[in-house]
Amino acid sequence: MDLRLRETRAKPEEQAAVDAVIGPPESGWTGGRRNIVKDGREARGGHELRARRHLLLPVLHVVQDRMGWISPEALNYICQRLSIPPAEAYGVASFYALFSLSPHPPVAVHVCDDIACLANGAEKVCTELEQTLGPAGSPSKSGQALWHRSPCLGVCERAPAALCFTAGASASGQVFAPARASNIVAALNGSSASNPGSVPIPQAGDPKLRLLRRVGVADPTSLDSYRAHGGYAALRRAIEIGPDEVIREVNDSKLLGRGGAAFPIGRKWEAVARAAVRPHYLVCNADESEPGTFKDRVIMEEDPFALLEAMTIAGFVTSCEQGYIYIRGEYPQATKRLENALIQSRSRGLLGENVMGQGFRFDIELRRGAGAYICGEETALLNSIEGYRGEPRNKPPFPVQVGLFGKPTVINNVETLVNVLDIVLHGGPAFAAIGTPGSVGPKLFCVSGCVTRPGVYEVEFGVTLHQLLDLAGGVRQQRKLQTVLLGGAAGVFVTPDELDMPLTFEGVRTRNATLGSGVVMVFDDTIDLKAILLRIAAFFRDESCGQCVPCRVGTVRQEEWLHRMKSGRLLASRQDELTLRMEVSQVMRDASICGLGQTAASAIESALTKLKIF
Amino acid sequence: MSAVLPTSAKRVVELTIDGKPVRVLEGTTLLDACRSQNIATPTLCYLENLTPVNVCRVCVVEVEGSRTLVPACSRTAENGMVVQTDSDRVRLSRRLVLELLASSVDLSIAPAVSEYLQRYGAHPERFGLAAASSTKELWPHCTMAVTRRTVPASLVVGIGVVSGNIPAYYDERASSWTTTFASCRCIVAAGKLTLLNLRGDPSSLRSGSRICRRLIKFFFCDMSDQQNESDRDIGCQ
Repeated sequence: MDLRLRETRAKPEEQAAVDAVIGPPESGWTGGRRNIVKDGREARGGHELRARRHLLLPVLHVVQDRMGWISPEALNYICQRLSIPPAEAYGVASFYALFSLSPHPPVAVHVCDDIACLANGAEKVCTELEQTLGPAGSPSKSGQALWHRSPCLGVCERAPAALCFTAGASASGQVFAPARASNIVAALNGSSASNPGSVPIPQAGDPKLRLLRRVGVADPTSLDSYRAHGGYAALRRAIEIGPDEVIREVNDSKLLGRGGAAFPIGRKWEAVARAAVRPHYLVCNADESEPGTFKDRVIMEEDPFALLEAMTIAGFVTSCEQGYIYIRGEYPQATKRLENALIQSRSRGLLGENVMGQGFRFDIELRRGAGAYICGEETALLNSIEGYRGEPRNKPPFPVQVGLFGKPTVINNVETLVNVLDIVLHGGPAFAAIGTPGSVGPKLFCVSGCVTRPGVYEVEFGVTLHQLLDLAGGVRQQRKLQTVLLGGAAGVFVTPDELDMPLTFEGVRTRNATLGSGVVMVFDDTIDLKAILLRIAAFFRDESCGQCVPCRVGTVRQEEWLHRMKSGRLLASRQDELTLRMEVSQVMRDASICGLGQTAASAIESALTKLKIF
Repeated sequence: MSAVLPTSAKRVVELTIDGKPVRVLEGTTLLDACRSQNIATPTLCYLENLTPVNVCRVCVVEVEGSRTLVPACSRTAENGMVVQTDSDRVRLSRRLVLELLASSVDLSIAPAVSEYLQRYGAHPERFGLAAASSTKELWPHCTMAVTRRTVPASLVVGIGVVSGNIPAYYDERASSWTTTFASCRCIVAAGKLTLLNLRGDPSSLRSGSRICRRLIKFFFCDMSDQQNESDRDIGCQ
């Protein structure tokens, strides 16, 4: 099928940016110089061209990074180079929030107004920016910058947060946390870049730590430092004992996935290791976008080699030769650290054709997300890597059977993978002895909101919510606790009476709660919970991918309902309104394709029933 | 060299639907199994000759042991499955899906849907007639059709041709909106059907309906030459 392309040409720098990723055009057909004789004798297409579809997102990223937006001409050039119909490419580019398809100044500032930041003065920052820079979404007076409101940026421990992307030949991303309107404006005016701020790990250096033992101790930019702190001992042992034995240890460890679904990781690995279809793929889900979650970011920023080592073990065990890390686009520092770690690992033969000289091949590619919460859903993530809109697939078939590029695929969360290092080093049974019988191992919790010392905390499964809050210094300024949001926007609110709840999978289940991705967000009595609920509802309405009816329309109706209740302008009797909301929650939970719709009502429902909001 | 064996004959799987034992060939979808038993199962986005996209969620059924309801159009029957097609949970989901859809889309072009609305006792007006215009910024089709320049194909469910979201793209040279119709077999089929239906009986479209006007323009812009100035801006009215 011929493509209908435009005749306008992309700017030289746009073309150069694209060519830097996929090489110069091969012929006149793909945007290069026309050569009547040569081009007339060339036939290219079919599988060969379609196999390059997965390069669409990386290419869109480079253009966005270079120019600050993706012009129709640049998109046209990309389509020509990758043989993608313009409508398809437009559909993909417009799906992701970090891509701008309309003219945009080189500097984009994303100011988080999500729940953790809302509880920490995000509105004040936004109001001040409105006064100095003008309203969100319109260019600043200088014309060089534009600011947007943004969902959670994953820097909740230093809320309120802002993220500034500067496009150009050397594009950069910079986090402001805690963000003040004054230092954002100063940075936009070209004054010295403010310090991105070190990650506060309140427990850093504690000898009892397992997952965080190297954080704040080893140099995250140096492979030598990682090795000096015990790095790559686990991979060596994994190679010694062989794949079957590693899987046995992982099964014995009873490790459950830490991304939210708590699926036994050993079963995933076993299924892929045994799958006859080749090749196998390994994907690390580092698209940590749940509001209030930042644990994976801390691991990737402060201990990136640990993730690479754990992935290499997983790849070795499940016969994958190619691994992908899908990292969220809002994590510039973690991306930089991982890129550096990948380069060092490759140069030392810890990744590549012959890993550790042991005759197996494994390499990892880093893929950046582009601002879509839904891509944390595993099948949406796979679609995104393949170069499509991040729309979840129907399950079954599960990714272990039909995953990335239709092949058997292991998908694990960052924290889950890093746990494997200890399992290989000390054995599955030793790991299974940590925590409680139903929830084993160490667990990272992201404590944020109105607490004295917000941050990532490592505890053994079984500590109570109360103990965890004590560890974080309790509610700040000794204020009264109003509620705790457990598990993020897709989680549930718990009341101050429930602080004795043990933080285990089974312990929270008995209270109809969820650990989710380990979010513990604290709200004191000064916080307007109605505003928090509205923000959560707006978040889901905005992040719904729009595929299925219950989620696409249900999330909108849910937000409208909250607005009605807040304003008191009901459509029907109060009882009918309550029934209406209950039914919408139920259809979203029961009939949505993926976890987004299924959990979109959960936090709001818990606040209504337990906290009697509205 | 080993001989090439013909693929083995399909096995029979046994399941229970609404309490009755049912035997179907392996690979049969629950929808086909239900239809073989004359169990009326509503479908909107399903079309016999297309790969199921399972996005409308109106065909959901309850399968014992499954946390959520499952789409009958794409889930295949398994041995020992216990399926309920008319439980309270199923009826509620179907009713709500229809109500949510009808509250956001003009379904008057879809006679089949009005029958479903009746069968499941759906009252879309519960969500407020003014919902669409008063909360324009919340309107999903604005984020989909206007901001994101895509049309959720479930807009055209009335004709039974939903096929996921159809990305749309404004082609300046042709001064029209282009969709992926030309690039994807599945969507080609969907698009043609839609056009035939819309063209076949455009008077059935309720006048003054925001979404339908947009839709008609959306489809007609691409395929005909009846463009005028306002068509250029169809997404942003």
